[in-house]
Amino acid sequence: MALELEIVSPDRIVLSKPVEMVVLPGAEGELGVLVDHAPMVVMLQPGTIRVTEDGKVTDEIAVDGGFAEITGARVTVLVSGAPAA
Amino acid sequence: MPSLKALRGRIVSVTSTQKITSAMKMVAASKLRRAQNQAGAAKPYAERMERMLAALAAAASGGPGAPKLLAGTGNDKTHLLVAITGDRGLAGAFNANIGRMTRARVGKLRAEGKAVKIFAVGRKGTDYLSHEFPDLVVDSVNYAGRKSINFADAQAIAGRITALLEAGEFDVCTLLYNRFHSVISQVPTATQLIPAPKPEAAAAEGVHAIVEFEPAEEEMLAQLLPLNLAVQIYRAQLESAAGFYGSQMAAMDNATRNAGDMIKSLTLRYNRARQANITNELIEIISGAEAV
Repeated sequence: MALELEIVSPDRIVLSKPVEMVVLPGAEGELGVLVDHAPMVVMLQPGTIRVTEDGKVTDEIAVDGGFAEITGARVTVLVSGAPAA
Repeated sequence: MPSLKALRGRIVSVTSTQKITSAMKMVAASKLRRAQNQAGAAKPYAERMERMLAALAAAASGGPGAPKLLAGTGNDKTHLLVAITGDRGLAGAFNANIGRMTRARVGKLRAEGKAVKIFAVGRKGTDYLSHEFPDLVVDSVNYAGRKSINFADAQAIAGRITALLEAGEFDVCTLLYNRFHSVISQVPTATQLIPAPKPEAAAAEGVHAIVEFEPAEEEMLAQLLPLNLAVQIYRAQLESAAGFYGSQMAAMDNATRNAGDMIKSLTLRYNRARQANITNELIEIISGAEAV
């Protein structure tokens, strides 16, 4: 089972696909999220979101802060601005 | 009876007016499409923001130190009306509808003995409201000459509203804007922003009962609430922009049709007058010839 990742900015959906792992720049430290992670809401600090598929980093997306909602099967990231990786 | 020359002049003038209105209709139609796309693109963000906020609010509710943006000041004395209109005219009753709605609200709130303040967004609304209620308009902003609005504009408005709230300038904030119902119908709508209306049965997903927060709820709410305010304003602005072009398109379509009708009736009169002239001349010639 894969983790559904969605990165959304006010203007568009930046990214939406199933991934293996995502590393988020949390306000209190980086955290990696795998499938079946405990539900939580995290505030992000400016940094990069790294997306891992098949053991390789496939996307690196710079964000200037935002919020991430994590449920067992889904990660939704709200960013205020995300340039193309 | 106007002279032939005068009629010809009027036909020419109405024809050029018709050209302008039909061009404006085309322009409005293409801008409408762009505005609709922008509004559609903003939707996922707003929906997810709502979901996240509902989870947070459920977890943090009941706390005594609930932020003002969520719970309000606890009073109901001073109302701030944020009226969103267009920057241009020639869009039928679009701007007038918001003006009328604002006026009705001001009347109603005053009758209840409450103080009213107005934040006018959009040039047309600012002009109207600062003429109608010169001492109520506390702030205004417009985007005349700009192609489209972006999220930063909404954030700027949200920032000013938050500052007013922190300064204790108002207790309740309501947003008045034209909701985009369809291309030909825009519904003037009032949405309460502060205090935020209670999210309805948000915890339907059940799992949310045991959500962890990092950092703690209060700190996160303090960040999320201003952002949410901006998102709501942004959404209203985009809907208003789409509605404006829809309304302008309908207005220009009507104007083009009216101009067509007018050209038709003027042409008929012109031809009749011309025929009457010819007949007159013929009668003169014939009666002259008969007299010889």
